[in-house]
Amino acid sequence: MRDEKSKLIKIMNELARFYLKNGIHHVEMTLDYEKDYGMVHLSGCCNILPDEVIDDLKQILNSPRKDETEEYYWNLIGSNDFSEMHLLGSLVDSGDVYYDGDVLKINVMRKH
Amino acid sequence: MENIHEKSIQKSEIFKYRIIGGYSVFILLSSLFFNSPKEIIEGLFRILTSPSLLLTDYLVVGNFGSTLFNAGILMILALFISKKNKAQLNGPLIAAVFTIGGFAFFGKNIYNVISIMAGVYLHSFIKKDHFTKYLIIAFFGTALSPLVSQVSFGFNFIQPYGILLGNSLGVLVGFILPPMASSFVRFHQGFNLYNIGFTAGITGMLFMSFFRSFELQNPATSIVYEGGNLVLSIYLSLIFISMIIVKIVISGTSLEKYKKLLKHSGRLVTDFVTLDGFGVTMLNMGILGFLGLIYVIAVGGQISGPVIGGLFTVVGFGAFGKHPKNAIPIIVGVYIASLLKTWEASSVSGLLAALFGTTLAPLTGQYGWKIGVLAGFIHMSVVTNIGYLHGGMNLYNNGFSGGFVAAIMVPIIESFKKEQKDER
Repeated sequence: MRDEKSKLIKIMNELARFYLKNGIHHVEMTLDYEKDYGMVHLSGCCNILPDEVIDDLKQILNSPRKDETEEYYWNLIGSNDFSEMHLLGSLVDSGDVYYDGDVLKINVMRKH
Repeated sequence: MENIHEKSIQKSEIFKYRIIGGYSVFILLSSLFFNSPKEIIEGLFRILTSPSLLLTDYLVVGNFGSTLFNAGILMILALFISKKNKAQLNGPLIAAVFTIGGFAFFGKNIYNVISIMAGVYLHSFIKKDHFTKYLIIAFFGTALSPLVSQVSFGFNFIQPYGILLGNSLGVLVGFILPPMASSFVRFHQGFNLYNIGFTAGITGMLFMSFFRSFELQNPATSIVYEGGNLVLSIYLSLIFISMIIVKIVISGTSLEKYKKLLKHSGRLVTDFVTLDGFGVTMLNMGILGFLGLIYVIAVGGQISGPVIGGLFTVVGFGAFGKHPKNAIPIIVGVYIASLLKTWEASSVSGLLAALFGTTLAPLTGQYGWKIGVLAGFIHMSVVTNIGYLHGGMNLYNNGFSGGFVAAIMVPIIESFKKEQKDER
């Protein structure tokens, strides 16, 4: 369970980096840690993002979870200057992305 | 809809298992081409009871047939465990299966890997976690299998105490590896593809320190096969060319996806199978195999068990981070080092540094070819200086070295990059 909390914090860090790297500098974050799952919600504005960035993000966050890489590599996400969005995608169960051309909202869920 | 998606994933998984399983079975059965069953069994017995320290070439200790049998059986075992745990056969696992097969030519065997895998399983069992999450650590963790063999047969303990102690230490090593591997990956920030090599180096150093404090020394070992270049070149070429054929059968002759693959930096975690598809990954593996083989022959090297291990590992990581664009500068760096320093490019240490040095390929991918050449140049010196620490018990000595090289280079490069940004 200790690792679960650490993993959730790192997922939040990685997503925060995604916002900043994409020129979105005002970001609000909330985190729910429940008995069976954890959720991270981020909302930020304001920058115009290309459609392909949003499409890639949706695909990454909804790619199948990959247990094979989890224990070995999870420490890499949210811990340095390099993007690990694909690794993040393999650690989460689902993700919702809303973008209206101004505000980008991301909700990510990871079951324990 | 979800059901159809799941079925399609299952179908593709079965296909991948069949292809990689096919290579494993081919390697196993090809043993009969070189030796009779009796010779294979006799050779296998010598392999299983060998201390297996770096460098122990099983082609010499056993024979061609028994070495290939050992490699095939270990690859099949890894695939069987993966399938049993319903693991997806993606880049990391393909890399692990080929790495295990490669090191089965010089250090890993069916006896000395079991206890380490059992130790990793015990860790997952005690944590009440799925073993699937620990599979890669269990497979790569067998880097320390010479520790099991050396304690079992190398220190001349009275039997069965030697075997009991060796396997107990194997279980202990496997048990402590997962948290260490997960933590050490941050040390080099994912720029050393053989992360377990670094972890195993530190672990091996710890155990060797204990052994030396009880006056137990590991002898310097260099048993290397020579004189089989023609036969082994043909054998390896068959494997590599078949990988290219598999790509053509799966997705035709189009190279569009391959151009995309070549753009990846290769930094951990870059799973080519997931990102670009299985077919193009097989093409990359085949090309890397030929690249390594051509280098070995071009510099006048001998194809030995350790060199085959290097080639198999490069091929395996062709599914997980390496491609010609990020690997060649590292090899060039090692080659330049061999021209200026005391090692010959054609010597075993020179060849292994070039092949396994591609553990640092992500440095090229991230920072360009000049940094790649520099990394190869530095790696050649470091790798020949650190084997003493673990007494030859860590088979991934290049991964150990790669961890240090990446950990030294990355912060320095990044600090200059940041200063440049700040200046703006």
